[in-house]
Amino acid sequence: MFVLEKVSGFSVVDGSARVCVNPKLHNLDVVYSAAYTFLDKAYILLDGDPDNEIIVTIRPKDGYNAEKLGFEFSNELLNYSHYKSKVKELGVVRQVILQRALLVYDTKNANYEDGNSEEVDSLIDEDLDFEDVEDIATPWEEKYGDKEDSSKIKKEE
Amino acid sequence: MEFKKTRINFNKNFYFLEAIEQAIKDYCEVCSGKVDVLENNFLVELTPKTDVDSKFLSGEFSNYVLSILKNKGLV
Repeated sequence: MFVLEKVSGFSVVDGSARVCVNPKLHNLDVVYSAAYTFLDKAYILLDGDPDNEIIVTIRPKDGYNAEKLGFEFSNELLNYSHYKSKVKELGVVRQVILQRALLVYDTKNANYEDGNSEEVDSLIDEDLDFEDVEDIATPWEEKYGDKEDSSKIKKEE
Repeated sequence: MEFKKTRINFNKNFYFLEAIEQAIKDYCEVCSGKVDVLENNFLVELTPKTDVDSKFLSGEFSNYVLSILKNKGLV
């Protein structure tokens, strides 16, 4: 059986869950974000030392269980920490994708400021230098626009 | 008639005076508030204007301060 008292950094006192967070594992902004998601379920109070130990007191609102909320809060910390690390990890990739998406449509007015212009240029070249065997890159208006217009005019006549 | 006062200690490492003062302003119809700036804490004393549970008031107030911190991008 799972014994609550044996879980380090977690306790329930006077109906409130007390979660002790190690700031080396979870940043302060992660704690704020996790706490924010619990505002509808519990009353949250932050205390302690942001360099050594952050103490989060979770007093459940009516209909919620302190122990359960405490564990859910720990999960939420993990969730936000993971999200943050992924955002950091994929930040450069996201930036390149975004620049590629924007610049493909406006290569003449492109303004490179952050130093990865070569990378972006190569991506754009990859996009532009392809063999359009089935003529899919030709805009609809160029391909069919005149024909449709002329056929419409004929019908109207 | 004066209702039962409630006190909340906000740790200075996690809460900003700006957010607490904003919360007191926004709660002016529910209670009056006073902040004492101590060495490590902001001691907030809330005096309800209506018959409201003090635990409920302190909880909602502290949540509201936290939401201000997040929504105003202070943290």
